[in-house]
Amino acid sequence: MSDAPGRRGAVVVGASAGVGRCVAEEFARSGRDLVLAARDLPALDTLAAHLRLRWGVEVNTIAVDLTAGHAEMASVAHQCRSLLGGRLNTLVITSGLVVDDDDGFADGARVEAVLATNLTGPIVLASAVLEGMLDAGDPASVVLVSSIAARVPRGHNVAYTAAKSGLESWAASLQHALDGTSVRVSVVAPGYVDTSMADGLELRLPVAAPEDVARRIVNVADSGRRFTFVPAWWRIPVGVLSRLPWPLFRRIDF
Amino acid sequence: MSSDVVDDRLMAALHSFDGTEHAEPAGFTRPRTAAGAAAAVEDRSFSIRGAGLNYSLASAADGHHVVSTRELDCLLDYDAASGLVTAQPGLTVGALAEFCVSRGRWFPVLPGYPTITIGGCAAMDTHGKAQHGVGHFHDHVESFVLWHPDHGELTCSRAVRPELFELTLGGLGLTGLIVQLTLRTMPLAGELVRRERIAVDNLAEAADVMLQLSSSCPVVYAWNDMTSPGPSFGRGIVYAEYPEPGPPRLGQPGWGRLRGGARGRVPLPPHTRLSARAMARVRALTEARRPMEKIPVLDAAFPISGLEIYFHLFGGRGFHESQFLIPLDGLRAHVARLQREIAGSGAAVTLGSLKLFSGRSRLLRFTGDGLCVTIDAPATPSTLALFGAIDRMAADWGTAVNLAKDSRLDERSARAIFPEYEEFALRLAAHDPDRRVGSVLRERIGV
Repeated sequence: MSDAPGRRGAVVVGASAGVGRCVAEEFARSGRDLVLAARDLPALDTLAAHLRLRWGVEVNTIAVDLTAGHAEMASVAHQCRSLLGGRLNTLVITSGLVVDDDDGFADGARVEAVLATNLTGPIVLASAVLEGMLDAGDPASVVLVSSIAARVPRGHNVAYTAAKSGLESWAASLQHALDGTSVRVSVVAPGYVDTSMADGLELRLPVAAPEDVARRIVNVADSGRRFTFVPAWWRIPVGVLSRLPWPLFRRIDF
Repeated sequence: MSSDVVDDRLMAALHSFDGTEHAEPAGFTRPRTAAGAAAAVEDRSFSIRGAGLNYSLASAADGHHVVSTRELDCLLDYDAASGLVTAQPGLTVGALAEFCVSRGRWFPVLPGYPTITIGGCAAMDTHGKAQHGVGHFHDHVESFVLWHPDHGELTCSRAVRPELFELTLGGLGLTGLIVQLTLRTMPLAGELVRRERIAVDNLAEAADVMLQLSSSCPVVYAWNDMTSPGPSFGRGIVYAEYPEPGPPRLGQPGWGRLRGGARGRVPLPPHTRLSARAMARVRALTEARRPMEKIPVLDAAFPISGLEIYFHLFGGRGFHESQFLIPLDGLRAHVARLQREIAGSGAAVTLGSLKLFSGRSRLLRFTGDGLCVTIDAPATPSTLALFGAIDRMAADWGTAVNLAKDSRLDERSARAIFPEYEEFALRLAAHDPDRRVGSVLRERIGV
């Protein structure tokens, strides 16, 4: 482990797939040492070897299941601090879980998994990591990936939307609570992104490349901006939809 | 539910990059291992999909499960002593090139866009701008590991399973999923490229200039205005590129914005001869201002990056491309014949370009000796008529056309153009008797 002055480190949760993979690559490109966390440890190990080879950064991997409970999250946070030490100044949580039958009547176990992966797991893990960041007292950043869905609840992805809404609420509260400290909490809300979540879907609006979303996330981690749509133009349709009168909104199926 | 396998829902259609072919897949998988692909495919028919930028639809078929290599995109190993790079098939050529430059190495066969995958290059046996000097992609493959549900994982090289090695490189992605590739790199000749532009008055002169330069210049190619009439047919610019030393630079952030399925969303009227002629004049004027420039080697390698608007201007109707070889013997007569066909067809040719090719045609690969001509035109009946005439010319000349670029070549034309068509079909049938791997391209050319 190198604690060379000036070296920065980041933890990316959800790094085995989609946007998380790309965030890991962008951090490595910028010279940050990394801890990658996800359920799929073999995929993480392959990605880690790639990042070491391509960018020459130090990369470690941790298996984590966001549904596993607070003791597991505390252990993961401890491992991250052990591996990165004083370089742990950025945490990005990109994990997401969507289930097909999430229409408000999904099986209870599946709803619990959606809420744990998208809400309680990230909150508990981020809290554990934040504690160490505050103790260190150095400038640090936590970025949580939400979704445009959080701003426009509708009859699809019901539990997912509730979870992302809750995550944004938690982040907003933390922004208030941590004002004046060295730690910033940010939220990034992507629209449609070219990941497995979008595969096979007929989408009416443009789909962003996960690499572009990842670059924006890294920018937000550096800037500490509180909330960002990615791409930024999503603020327009989201703003319009969220303000539609109920008699109009109820007729839209999306 | 894992977000890896998307199944049992109504799948949106996938289109060829040129917009003229489509298929409705049965499902999608983005595996991170060969075992993941096997688990998703089970006993289903499937297609392999990289970036989805192939002009013809080689990565999807109706009712087939799509196996995407988007998350099989890692570097696996690099041997500094030998220069061998091993990587997963979804690694982009842009990432490969960046990595090579960072190690003072270079991969000599790169298609013109950075987000194309090395797996796609292997499947289509792509060529770069210096084909006459460095050959095709297959010439720089050391080995690969191929997965097929009937055979499991097979290591292939010139010494191990050489027939499957040959069948797969340029095998249109039909032999199975390449799970890793080992590529030969070479020392980097220069971190910069000095690009010189030489104006030429017609296509035959362009060929003459290119042949003269080819003995001393590693990269020679041309842009040609195929709308210019009479003795000016094919006037344009010959580009000569030479390596130069300089500081290494990474690729541009956001490098490469084209993705399969992203083109063609804006409905636009098709190009006409007038708009094609206007585009050619704009290009000629733009190029005339820069007789010479020095650019980073990565920017020189991917000239289409930054010019994506060209493809979007074809709109939802799409376009066709024909890429074919003209024999150097009797070149002027062949060029005259091509000119008559273009003029007579009424097609609005929006792009014409030339490269020099040398090599031996094999199976369905786009290889051989001659002048490689590329023509783009909007997807209209006059374009189809022109490209049908080009098919007949290629058959008459005994030269090849590029199946990766051509989304309308049918079985009859493929049999007429490729003398080893039957051999390819038989060998593929022996390897994949139940046709587990499919694509619209495969169905169209009937192998």
